[in-house]
Amino acid sequence: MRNQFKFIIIIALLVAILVTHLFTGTFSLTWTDLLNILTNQASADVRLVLFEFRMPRILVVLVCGAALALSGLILQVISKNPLADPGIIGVNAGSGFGVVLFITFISGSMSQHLYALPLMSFVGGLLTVLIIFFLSFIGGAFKSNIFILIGIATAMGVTGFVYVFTSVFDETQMEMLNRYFAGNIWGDTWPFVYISVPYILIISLFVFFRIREMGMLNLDDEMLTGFGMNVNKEKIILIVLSAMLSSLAVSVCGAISFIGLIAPHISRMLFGQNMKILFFSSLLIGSVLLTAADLLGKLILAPAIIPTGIVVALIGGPYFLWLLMRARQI
Amino acid sequence: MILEAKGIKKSYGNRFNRTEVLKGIDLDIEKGEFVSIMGASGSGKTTLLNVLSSIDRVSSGHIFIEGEDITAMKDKKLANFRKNDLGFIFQQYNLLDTLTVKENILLPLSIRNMKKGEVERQFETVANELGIHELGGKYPNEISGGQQQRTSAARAFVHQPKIIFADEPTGALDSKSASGLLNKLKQMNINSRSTIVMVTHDATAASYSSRVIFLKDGLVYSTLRKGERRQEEFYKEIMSTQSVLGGVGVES
Ligand SMILES: Nc1ncnc2c1ncn2[C@@H]1O[C@H](COP(=O)(O)OP(=O)(O)O)[C@@H](O)[C@H]1O
Ligand SMILES: [Mg+2]
Repeated sequence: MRNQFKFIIIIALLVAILVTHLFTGTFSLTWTDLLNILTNQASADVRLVLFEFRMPRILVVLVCGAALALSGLILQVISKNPLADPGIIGVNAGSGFGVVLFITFISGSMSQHLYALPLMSFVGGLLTVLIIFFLSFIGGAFKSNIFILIGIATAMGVTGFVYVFTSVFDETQMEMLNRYFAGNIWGDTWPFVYISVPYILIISLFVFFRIREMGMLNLDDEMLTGFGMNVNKEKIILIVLSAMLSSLAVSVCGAISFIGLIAPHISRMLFGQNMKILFFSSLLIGSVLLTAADLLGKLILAPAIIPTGIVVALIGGPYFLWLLMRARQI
Repeated sequence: MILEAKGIKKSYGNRFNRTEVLKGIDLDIEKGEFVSIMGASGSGKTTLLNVLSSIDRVSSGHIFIEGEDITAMKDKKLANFRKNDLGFIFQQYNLLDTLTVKENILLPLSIRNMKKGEVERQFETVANELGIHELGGKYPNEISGGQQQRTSAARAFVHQPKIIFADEPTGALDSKSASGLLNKLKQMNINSRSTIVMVTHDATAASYSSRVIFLKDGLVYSTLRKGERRQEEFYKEIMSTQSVLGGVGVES
């Protein structure tokens, strides 16, 4: 009962954010506009703003927030470390590297290569995680904590590489890169919705069918092996799913950290450890966090827009520190 | 003969830095036996148990369970074999906080397709034998350590495995809960003719078994059999062997 109540509040919050999002911005809409839309009498302007600008952006942010949260939840489960986050283990750095390669070697404006940029970002993120993953097998068995450590180290190394490339960048190239690292939601038109949302939903569905295994991963590996589970295989599948989710998300949203860390954490505080509940609550809370950050970025300094990734970092950074301090005390 | 190990060697590390933990161990375990493995800390008890139970692979040697060589089995078959024929108890209770005692016990059965009535009956049997039937609806954090470990033992027995492997099952328990658990294990061993292989560094715990195998420097150092003796006498002999061996009851 209490859990249902909490879910209702979160969903209500999400709806409130989404509605505010739809109506506010450089071109604010009114209730009359909404009514007109519903009765098919709205002006072309209103329709353009709502359907071509606001809707795709909201959809991308909504689904990517959920994807980052789920990606983080998976990493935390397999590493048995509640501080794991896809941004920490190199997804963002790898995606950034893909972006840098794109900027360096593919000239021309972004609109000419609508899909090339997110594709390279996706491949960069995914490849980095997979490389980290295979490195962590060196020395025999796969150890999740080693995986996280190698991830952090690789993330730093790759970021260094990125800056080496930037030394030859001109101003426009630099600006493109900064847009990525600030977590500007660059993919906020329908084509980006089509290349990200369906895949994220499908991958999430795959994860849904492994909730049981995710819950069991709390047990020691020996015990799970005793139950006949192929623990390494299970972890590999989950890591790949997690890497795909976060790479997809950052390839259309830009480098966004902390959602994967914070959303599962809030979920645990609210709902406890039940994996099925954590799955759904993390998705929802991830959506709430990213849409709220996007909304705040749009409203705080309006008409100026603060990149969403920066808003997330401004809130996420202190939260992460607070978590670390608390972990110290216990 | 339910378990037969021949020339078991196991080393850790890489080409440049190798340590041989098991240096050639032979042992035979009869069906229905309750065997303890003892030895100083770091002598390779856990390593031996893990290779015997196929959780870990041997470096060389062969292990036969009911005549079948598990060192030659493919991963998939091995996983199935573990799931169906082996049960495990570890020092950590390894219970899922989000499941009730009953759900935890039934975990090994929930992985396979089994009729509900049959599942229910299996639960009744083991839960009654281990004296935790009335705790079925509770969660692990609502019961004592001893009760948690009996839950973990019930889970190891619930699918009627051929062999139960236990690594320091009493390591985290006070002496009263420990003797409670050991009595139950012994009772299960006698009543259901289940074979138990238990690693322990505690002479009292070992005295519940019918045979004690001592490890030293990666080899079997000696073997004691209880025979028809009383438990106290067996305990004394275990103690004296242990003191000759050194490393009395010290475990990290
Ligand atoms: N995975 C491993 N990698 C490297 N060395 C190990 C590993 N597991 C155990 N060892 C080493 O093998 C030796 C025996 O360990 P173990 O079997 O756990 O001893 P016991 O259970 O008797 O205390 C120890 O020296 C330990 O450091
Ligand atoms: Mg040990």
